[in-house]
Amino acid sequence: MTSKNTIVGTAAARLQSLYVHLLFCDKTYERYVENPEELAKAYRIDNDALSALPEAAAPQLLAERHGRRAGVLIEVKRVFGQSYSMIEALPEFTFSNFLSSKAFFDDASGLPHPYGVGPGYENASKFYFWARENLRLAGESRRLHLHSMMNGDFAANLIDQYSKGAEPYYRRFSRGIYWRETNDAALPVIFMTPERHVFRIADAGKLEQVLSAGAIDLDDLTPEIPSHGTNIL
Amino acid sequence: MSVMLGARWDEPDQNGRFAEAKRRGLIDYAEVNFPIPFAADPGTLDVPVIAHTSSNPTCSAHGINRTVAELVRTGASNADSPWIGEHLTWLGSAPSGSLGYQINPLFTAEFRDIAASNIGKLKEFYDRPIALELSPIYTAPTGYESEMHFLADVAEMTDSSIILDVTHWQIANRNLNRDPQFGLDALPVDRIVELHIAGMRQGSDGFWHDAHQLLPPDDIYNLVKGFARNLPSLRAVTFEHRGDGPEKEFYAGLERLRHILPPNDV
Repeated sequence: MTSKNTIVGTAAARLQSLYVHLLFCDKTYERYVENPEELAKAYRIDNDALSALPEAAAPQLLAERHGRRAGVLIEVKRVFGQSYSMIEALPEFTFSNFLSSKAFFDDASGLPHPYGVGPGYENASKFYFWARENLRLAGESRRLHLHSMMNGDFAANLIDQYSKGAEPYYRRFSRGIYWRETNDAALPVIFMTPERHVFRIADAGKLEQVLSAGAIDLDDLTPEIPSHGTNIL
Repeated sequence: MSVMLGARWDEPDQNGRFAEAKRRGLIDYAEVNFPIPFAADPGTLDVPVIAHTSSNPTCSAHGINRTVAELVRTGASNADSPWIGEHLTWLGSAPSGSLGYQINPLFTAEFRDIAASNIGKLKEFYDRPIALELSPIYTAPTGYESEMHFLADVAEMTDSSIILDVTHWQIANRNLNRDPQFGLDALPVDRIVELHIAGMRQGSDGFWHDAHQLLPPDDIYNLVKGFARNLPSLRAVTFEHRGDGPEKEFYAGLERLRHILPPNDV
């Protein structure tokens, strides 16, 4: 998919964006196979610049595409170890859709890297936010178990990063994480402690204790917008 | 010039095996891959540190994130690293660097010039020498004789040193059906200050990949032996082995390299 923010900048930057999309995004690859000139036009690069790209059918390009996509999948599965197979079974889900999404390529669609590298360098949180927005897990009763499993995987990862001494952003997870069981009711909530014990809380008083202790609401967690004002160039 | 033997360090989980390797006389330094976890302190390893990073998109037309460069600069400065290793890479296509995966640039004159400009600015920012490294290659260069020629030109243009990743080089030659020695004569050998070696594996599609959980094959050790004798500026050989790889193999790889690079050379 060609998003607006990937086709700005110099011709070289646009060519770079095109090639990076080509490596991960099936939609871009299909367009490259079917009509490269049209794709070049969409990226506002000269047809001559297409000669810098590998042949669409080159086995090396196919191997590189396969390896790179597999690399993202490994990263996602590492975090969503309990829930990924259930996500994969959803009829509307394909991993390719995530890799073709604006969210995957956008450095403003995820959380900071735990080592302080900054937004965009890790892709599991991008996957979480993308899935939350696109798979409607909390809105359908038959998907509540999957919703809970996916949140549990992600919450455990966030707490794990905090406990390993990740960058300051992750300190907010030091008091645990909770989320609503369904979108349409404040209770019950599922609460994961900093020790990664999981409780289902249906009592308003107990929820108040969790809130006053400083637990973070996973349903309210959003991507961090990076600062683009600090480019070394 | 003496040649040191070291190993790549990514996180504190590796501290135990580094301490043991040091006790056995198998490492002279740690190559620390910055940025590192916030709570980590490579100083506790009690060995010299060479700074390395794979998190700056040195070839990117979208620029380089200052935050990352600052973390690397601070780490290198604290360790008084003799140089900073940098990959010739894109990482993604967003201003922050994005994606986080090593993505080879298109090897063209245009991206050579962009890389030279970026690295020139990084050198100024670091106020420290830079050594450049290539990633494994899968797709044949389209605008350059080879990625090795590209590396040579960028190193010359920026007066940078070179890290020859022997495993990456051999993977590229296999994937592109080239002679095992292809590309070496393109490099200015007096700029090669460091070697990287690691394991490699062949995928089900026939292509070769980096495999830091495996030991290097025999031919990689043989190449290192020759390089240790013949590269005039070589200062360091870094063994890359994943922290969750078999611990015995970590020592086995280092022991084999130690035979090539005896400690009295240091």
